[in-house]
Formats: sequence, structure tokens, C-alpha cells
Amino acid sequence: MLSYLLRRAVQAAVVLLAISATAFALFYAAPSNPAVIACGPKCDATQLAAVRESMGLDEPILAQYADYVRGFVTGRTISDVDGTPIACDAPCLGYSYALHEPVRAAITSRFPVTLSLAGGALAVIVVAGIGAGFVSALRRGRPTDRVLSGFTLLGASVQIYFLGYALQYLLVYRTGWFALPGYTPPGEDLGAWAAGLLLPCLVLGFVNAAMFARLSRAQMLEVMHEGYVRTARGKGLGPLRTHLKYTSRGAAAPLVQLLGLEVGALLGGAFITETVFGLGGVGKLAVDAVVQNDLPTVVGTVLLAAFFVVVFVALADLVVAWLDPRVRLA
Amino acid sequence: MPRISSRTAVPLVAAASAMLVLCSCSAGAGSQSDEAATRTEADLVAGVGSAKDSAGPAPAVAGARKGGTVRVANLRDYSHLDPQKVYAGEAYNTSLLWGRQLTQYQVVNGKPKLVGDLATDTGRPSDGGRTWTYKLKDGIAWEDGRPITSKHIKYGIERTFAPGFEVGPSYWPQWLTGKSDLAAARKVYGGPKKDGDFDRIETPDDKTVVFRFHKTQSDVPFMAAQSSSSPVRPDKDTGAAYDLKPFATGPYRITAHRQNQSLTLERNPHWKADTDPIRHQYADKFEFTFEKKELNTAQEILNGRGEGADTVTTKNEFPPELIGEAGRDAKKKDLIVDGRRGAFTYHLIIRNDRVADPEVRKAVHYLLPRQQARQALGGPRVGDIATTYSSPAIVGWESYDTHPVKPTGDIEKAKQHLARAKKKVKRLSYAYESNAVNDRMAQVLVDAFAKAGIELVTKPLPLPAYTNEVLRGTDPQYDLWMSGSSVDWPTPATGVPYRFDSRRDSLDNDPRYKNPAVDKELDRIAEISDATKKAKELIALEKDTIMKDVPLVPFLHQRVQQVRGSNVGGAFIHPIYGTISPAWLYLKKSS
Amino acid sequence: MLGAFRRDRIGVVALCVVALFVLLALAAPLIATLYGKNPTEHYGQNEAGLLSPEGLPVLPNGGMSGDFWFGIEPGLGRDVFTQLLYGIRTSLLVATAAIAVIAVLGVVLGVTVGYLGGLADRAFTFVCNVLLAFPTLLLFLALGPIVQTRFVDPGENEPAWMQFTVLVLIFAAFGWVPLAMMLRTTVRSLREREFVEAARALGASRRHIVLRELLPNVWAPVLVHITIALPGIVTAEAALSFLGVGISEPIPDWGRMIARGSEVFYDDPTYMIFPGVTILLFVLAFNLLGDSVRDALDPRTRH
Repeated sequence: MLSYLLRRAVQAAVVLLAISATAFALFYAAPSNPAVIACGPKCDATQLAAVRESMGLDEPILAQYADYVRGFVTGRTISDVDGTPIACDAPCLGYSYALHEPVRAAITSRFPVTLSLAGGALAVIVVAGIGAGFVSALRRGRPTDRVLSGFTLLGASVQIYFLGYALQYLLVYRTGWFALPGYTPPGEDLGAWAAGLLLPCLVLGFVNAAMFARLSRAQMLEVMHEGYVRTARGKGLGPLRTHLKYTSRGAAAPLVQLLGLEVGALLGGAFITETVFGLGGVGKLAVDAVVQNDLPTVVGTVLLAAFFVVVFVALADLVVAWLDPRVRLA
Repeated sequence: MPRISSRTAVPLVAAASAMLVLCSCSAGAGSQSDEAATRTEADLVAGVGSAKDSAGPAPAVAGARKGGTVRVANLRDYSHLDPQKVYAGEAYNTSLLWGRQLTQYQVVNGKPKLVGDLATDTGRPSDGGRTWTYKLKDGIAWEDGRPITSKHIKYGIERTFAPGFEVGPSYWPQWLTGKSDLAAARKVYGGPKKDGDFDRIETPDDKTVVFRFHKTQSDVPFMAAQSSSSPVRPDKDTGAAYDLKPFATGPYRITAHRQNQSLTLERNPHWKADTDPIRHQYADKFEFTFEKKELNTAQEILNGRGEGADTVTTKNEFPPELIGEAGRDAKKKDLIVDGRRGAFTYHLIIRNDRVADPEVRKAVHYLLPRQQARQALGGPRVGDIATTYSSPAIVGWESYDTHPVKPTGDIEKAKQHLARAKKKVKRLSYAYESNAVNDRMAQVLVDAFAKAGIELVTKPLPLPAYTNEVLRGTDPQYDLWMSGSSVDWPTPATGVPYRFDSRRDSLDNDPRYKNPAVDKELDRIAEISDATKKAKELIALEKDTIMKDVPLVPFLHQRVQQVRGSNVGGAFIHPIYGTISPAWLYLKKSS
Repeated sequence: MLGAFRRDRIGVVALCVVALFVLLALAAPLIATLYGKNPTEHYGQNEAGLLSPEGLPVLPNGGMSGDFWFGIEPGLGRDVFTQLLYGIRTSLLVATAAIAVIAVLGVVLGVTVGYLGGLADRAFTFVCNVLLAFPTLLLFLALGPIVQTRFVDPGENEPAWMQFTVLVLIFAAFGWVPLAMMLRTTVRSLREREFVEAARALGASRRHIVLRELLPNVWAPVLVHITIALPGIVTAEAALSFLGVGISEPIPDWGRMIARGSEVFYDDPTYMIFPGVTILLFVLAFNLLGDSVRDALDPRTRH
């Protein structure tokens, strides 16, 4: 078990290293460099060169990347445009000259938005998605199944950027049934927090729930016919209890794996949903950073997103192994 | 995997789509237009006030009352608050809340007048405009109660020489050293940290500052109103941290600044209204928040949801998405604050060294479909169609139209000029900062140029690359681009002599305009010691010589719309800074 | 198998809808000629009375009329019907080209790795892990400007073929992973089956085993996979355009239409409804078709 965890951690670190290197190289190839942003529009060639030097951008890309990795592990001192040192503690993700703040601070201040959105969407996914699949499977072929499957199909086919705007138009703008989407810190006003996130969470959850509904329905149907479930039924266990206790457990493995991937992806920032609803989370931060060529922020957000995917996929594997003793951790 | 029954899905989806379609029936825009019906800013040119005008307090805003918290919601935080780094009209405008300068614009009923702020007047020239003397008022103080002295003014201006301050304007370094650019000026003096005291700024006593320039400088009173001319106290200069939380001299002080999140201002107890002819101190507090989507902010304000009634935007523009809605409802329309965007112009720049044939440039002038291009940008609200290079908001402006043309462009005239060109022109390149609006406007130009047989090659570039390649002039090179720009203060002194002087680099002279006669004339005009006379001569040069060469095509004198909550009073677009100025705001009633 | 498909009424309907889309895409120029409009002309700007000075359609419902069946685009005043029509071409072209590359890459890599196992398998798993954890959307966003400046002559427009190629390659670069992983698992189990063992015992070459014994057994899952993956690419392409980095003007594009619609949807919601519903229908038809293909090809799933 311990060796498994260790191996998994090393694997994750290598994957993250590879991803950060790719992101670094790609943006290094980008047409404009961060010095231009930092120096401002009226900056002439000599000033630009000075800024480049103080930012360390005149060094070869490998040296810059090594600095970055070193900074992540041990922390480092970054120099501002004018050469003033900025302390950046480990894990240092660099300093954004476009935002005038350390990347880690930029991410942490926006993360609550992403976390709230992900949490709400996840609740919808689990309750509506997996729940719908479960009910559908039990009621296979009956009207309930058909209606639920219809919704599932709609969810699988509709686009967030269409549904999001359409619902905002109908439910917020025309009728006022929902509050304007937005983020209020829950510590400030819990009600406003919930109201502002309700619609975004429902939409993001609905669109992603479809996949889970289909998978859970399929898995349930498959497992329902397996021997041990029939045995349990034969022993006189009621249908609902059988399904909750045995069928769902047997059907869970692929669901858990998909859920792991989903949680990881959601925590890395919902780029389109945040854009559509105007939420300033990590996803919006990342998209803005790409548009502005803000290299340190791009690499930071890419790493964060990858980190969550890697971690939650690994967690999902552990849960699967725990659920089903037949699975060996390898 | 088992199959999902979808027999019910199709009708369901159809029903859902039908519902969306039904609910979305929209009224047409109609064809009425209220263009420029009530625009009266043409005479809003800054006058220079007397010593009497410079005495406080500021003329009261009619109906204003004290109390409450005014909320300002902008998408982005300020990139700089350090007074010597601030270099944008909007930030100048907001920093009036906590920062004071030697001079500043008093605005009464929307009319600006330059008056002494910390100084008793707008400055006294001597020695043919080479020496300028400022006397400080009594009773001016920092937020901790200690008096503001001439040393603090000197120290603040000395900072503009230092590395890190290139983001701010470089007029002080250029003028005080007689050099034409910052790099050269820094060789003479490198800032207070590096080179200590700078002898060109003298402080014979705590109340007197004397500037000694190498040449005649007539625009000093205007430069003295820039944020760069704010005092900084050496013991409070926290370096990089000063950019987040400067020490206050104005009616408010900064109590908290969480970067990209919030900025809180409270009353500065040591600010005395009777020393300040410009600012007010109506609200108890200002609470700035950042990062909320512009559209959502505007909706909250329009509908008075949450704290919307007490909120204004000073940086966000009113989102075009809501223009139609606001137009249909008189109450909402009343909340939109419209005005001229300071002295901002938006012109089609031609790179004169690439498009060297004046006939081709004239053809471009006639081709530009001003009306269609403006329609793609959002219509009359984005600006008034321009025929002059300089903005009507500046001293000395004159209305003229060198090559009159219909707003839709004149293909026939353009073809005639193209036929006269020495070399046939088949294609031109057009660079722009890549975004959806600019993409569409590029298509308008492509369409128009094609009608005259010119293929317009469009080059969308990310902003930094755009700045680099178009302005800094590195390869690759492009023929045309749109440029929004403004003079730094309301005289042509920072416009015409920079953009059309062939000896300046391409960051200033982006059209790469070259006319020796103009260079010579500019040198002569620079020696004029009276700012108003100088302005008139510059405008005459622009009108009679420069624009006849068609170095660029005038397109728009820009306008701006912002929005205020129904409980917020005193909101107007500042005639100089082109945004709502918080220093005049009050709450009509506070809870 | 075909019989099973034919009995599936919804599948047949879905196939018809998909076929209709393909037909419309192929016949777009013909239809546009008959209809008398093209997708690039700025009708609203050049003819008086169609757009208000602010650029909004003068007539209600997005300017729908006998001349402009689906209305006109706010701002530039282009014809919505032909934009949608040519938009099918953009979407289908990107999606089918990407799917073709994905199928080839996925089959080659999946089958080879599945058959070889060992070191190749480990390398494969690592690469897949990296690609799966990469936030692809960000990469897409970043690549556009890089290609534009590195590979396009500054005096030229970025050619349409290059925009398409870049999109196709990016989608392919990440899209092959799930297919290859699925095939690797399938092939690993096939490898141990009798017929492969038999071929190996008879001394068949690796090449023979892969080409003759393994490949014929994987085409069904490949077909199912690509039918399901294709609408995903269509929507991803639209999402990129929505974020402003897809195919650029003036090539008609659904995602860009939705993005423009989102800017005016308070004043002119009609403009967003058309591309939104079209994508919905297109993806729905493909999803239904994908289900039917899977059912027809995989007897196990027929319930």
C-alpha cells in the first residue's frame, strides 16, 4: 500500500513536471514577452532591455525553467521591473507583472469562487446525475426512465455557452426568478453566496450530470443481472435494499473513476462557465492570463488544474480498490 | 453499455428549444436615432484660473449632502497607485480622492478651470518661461497631520527619474535636464536613491518650490496637475509597497487595499476643505470592489439590486449589451452618464514611410467608411465623427475639414486618387489588437477597400505584440492601424509636437511622418512662452500643413458612458479625465 | 447488424438529420445562390433601413423578413441564414478531418501498444497521463497567436487552410488518447484469445497478427468511438470560437455567432437562438446516432 502511494506520488510529480515544461516552452514561443507588458506602452528599447534583464528574461529558457522549479521547491526572490526584490516563498509560482501580485496569491484569492462553483456543480452531478441513472435503471422502460433519459440526452447535447445565456435571459433578466449570478464570500452573506451561485452551479452540474446519468444507468443495469445480486435477492432481501447495498457497490467503480476525473477538472477552473456567468474564478484568471500573455499566471493555473486532475484520479483509484477487493493496486 | 431510451427525448428537446425561441421574441431597434441632440461640450476647454480661484473651499455641488458609503465597482484594480507611476486619466481622476498636486482642475457645472491645488496659484514664470515658482498654501497636511512642505514636492518629482518609474510620464525629467528622452535624462540625474539631491529643483524655504528648466516651458501649470507632481514624504516612501498604499494628502485616506479585490477609503481628518478649491468630502467612506463582470455590475446598478443604488463605475464602461434596454426605460436612461472621453481621439494611422505616396494616403482617407466602422463599434455612443486631428476638448482647437468626405466614404474619389498614384497599390496591411470588436471592424474596412480594388490584409495581434510591432517598429511592419490616444493635458503640446516630429522615435511619431518644414516650425513654436498662444500656433500648424499631407485619417472623437446608482449624486464625466470623478460624488440619502 | 439498425426508428431519424446536415453543407453554395444572399456581404451596413445607427436590426425578431429568413447579424448586418449554412461546413470540416486523424493515430498506437506491452506500454501510459491531465482548452487558447506570428508571412492573411490545419492537429493531438487507451485494453484481451494464439503457433509474423487477426476485430469499437467523439469536436471547436480563438473572420462559424449573440442577447436574443439551436440539433442527432450505432454493433447492449 505504502509503496503504491509512493509510486503514485512520484508518477504525479513527473507528470506535473512534464506539463509545466510544456506550458513553459509553449508560452516562451509566444509572440510577445512579459517584459513588454511589465514595461508599459511608452517604454522604449533601452528601458525594455533593462526590464528584460531585471526580470531574468534574457537568460536561456532552460535556466529560467530551472529557476522556476527551484523556486517552487525552495522559494526564491524575484525582481520587480525596477529591480526591487520580491520575496516569493515556496511553493513559489512566480510573480505576475500583469496583475502586480504573486501568482499564488492571485490563485488563492480566486480559488474560493472555483471551489464554490465546483462544489455546487458536484452536488448536482451526484444527486441529479447519478441519482437519475439509478432511478432510470430501476424503472427501465417505464415513463420515468424515458423522461429522465430525455433530460440526460438534452444535457449531453446542449452547450453551456448557449444554455447559460438562454437561462440567464429567461430566469434572471426576463422573470427575475433567479438572482444575478455572482460571487459573495459565504462568510459575508451566506444567502447571497448561495443565490449568486445557484444558476451557474445548476447549469454546470446539469451539463456534466448527463454523462454520469448515462454511465450509472448502464452500470446498474449490467450489475443487476450478476450472480451475487441475484443471490441476495434470492435470500429474500427487498429490491431497494439489494440495489443500494450490492448493486450500487458493484456498479460504482467506473463511476468513481469518472467522478475523480470530474472533480479534478472542476477544481482546475470551469473556463466557459466562469466566462458565461462572469465569475472571477481560477478559470477566468487562466483565460485572461492566456489572452494577456501573462506567462507566470498561465503556468501556475495550468499546473493547478493538472495537479487536481492527477490527485483526484489517484484518489479515485484508491476508492475503487477499497470498494472492490478484487482490484489490485498496480 | 445499455441504451438510453430516447423516444421522449426528441419532443422534449424540441419543446425546450421552442420555449427558448418563443420567449426570445425581440422588438426591433426601430430606426430613430438621437444622435448628438444635446451635446454641448464643444466649449468645455480648460481655462486657467487666478489665485483667487485657487483658494478653497470648492464650490458646493447643488443638492449634495454628507454621509454614507459610496461604492465603486470596477472590473480591474488600478495597476498603479504610486502617484509617480500613475499614468491614465481614470487613475488620475480616482486618485484625486487621496492625492493632491501642485495644480488641479476645478470643475463647476462640467466646466474645467486649472487652479492652484497645493500651490497658491498655477505657477509664476520668469526668465522667459525657464524658471517657474510655486508657493504652497498654509494648512495643507498629510494624513498624519504633519505639514506638506516644498521638500516633499521636490522629492516626489525627483522620483520620476528613478528606475521603475518609466511607467509614468517623463516630462519632468526631460524638461529639467533639457534632454529629449528619459534614458538621456537619467544619465544627468538618476533619482533620489541613486543621486541624492537634484539642483534643478530648488526649495529656498518650506513653502517655495522653484523649477529651473533649460528651455522655455509654457505648459508647466498643466504638468503640475499631473499625478507625477504629487508630493511624497521620504520617510513614508515604502518603495514597491507605496504602489499599493500611498500616503494621503486629499480628503480621503486609504485604510485597506487588498489587491485585485478591494480598496477602502475613509475620511482624512487632516484634510481642510478651505485649502482645497477642487475636491469634496461628502461621503464618509468609499468602498471599491474589483473583479466583478461589467455586465453584472451594470445590471445591479440599473435595477438597484443589492447595493446597486449606492454604486458607480469609474473604470468600467457601460456595457453595450444593456444600451438598448436602458434606452427603452427613461428611469434607467437617467442613470447612464455620458460624456466626451477627455481629449481621446481614435484615428486611422497610416505608416507614412511605407505608404509614401500622398495620393494613396488620400485614397485611404476617402475609403474609410466612418459611419459603417462606427456602427460596428456600437454607433454614435462611441464617438463623434472627426474631421480634425486634435480633440475639440483642448485649448486652441479649431473646427476644420481638410478633405471633406461623406461619412460612408467616397469610393469614386478614392479611385481617382489611386489612379494618380505613381505605383499601383494592390494590397495594404491593417494591424489591430485581436478581439471580437476589432475583428468585425477589420471586416468593415476589408469590405470598403475591396470596392476600390485594394486587398486589405488583416493582422490580428495580441496586445503586447501589437505595441511592439506597430509602435516600437520592430519587424514585421504594417501599413495601417487604428489608434486611440490622447494628449496628456488639454493643450496640443503633448500631441502635435510628438506625433509629427520626424526626429522623435516611433513610440511618439507612430505615423513616421516626416516634413522638415514642420520640424522647423515645431522648434519655433516650442520657444513660445504663453501656453494659449502656443496652443493656437500648434493647431494652425496641424490644420494648414500637417493634415494637408494626410499622415493619418481622422475618425472619431471618442465618447464614454458609465453608470451610477439611483442614490448617487454628483456623477458627471470629468471633462479632462473622461470618466466619472469620485471626488464630486455624494449619496442622496444614506441608510 | 444493419437489420438491427434499420429496426431502430430513432437511429434512422438521427441518421437522416445527420445526412441532411451533410447535404446542406455540400450544397451550401447552391442553396445560397438560389436564396440570393451570401454569408460575407454586409447587407445591413450597405443598405439603408436594415440596421439602426447602433447596429441593431430595425425589424423585430432579429430583422427576420422575406429577404432575410433568419434575420441579420447585429453590427455588420450579414445574412444569418447563409452564415449558419456555411457554418455547417466549418464545423463538419474540422470535425471530420480531426476524427480521421484521431482514428488513424488511435488505432495505430492503441493496437501496437496493446500488442507489444512491456516498455512501450509504460511509455504510452505516461504520455497518456500527461495528456489527460493537461488543461487542453488553455493550450488551444495559447496556440492561435503563436501560429499566426511564427508561420504566417506578415504581409499575408493567415490562410484558411492553416487555421483549419492547426485546429485539426490540436484536436487530434489530444483526441487520440481515449481511443488508443480503449483499444489497448481490447487488444490485450484479444491477444490471449485462441485465434491469436493459434496464428502465433502457426508461425504467423507479428505484422500478420496485427493486421490480419487483431485489426479486423477492433473496427466496431472504433466506429462507435468516432461517432460519439465527433459531436464533441464540433462543440469544442464552437467553444474555442466562443472564447475568441477559433476560425477567424470572415469564415462563418457557429461559436463566433454565439459569442456575438451573447453581446446583444438583451436587445436581440434571436441572433443567439439560431446558432444555439442549430448546434443543439446537430449534436443531439449525432448523440442519438452514436447510441444506435453502438447498439447495432454491440449485441451485448441491446436491452
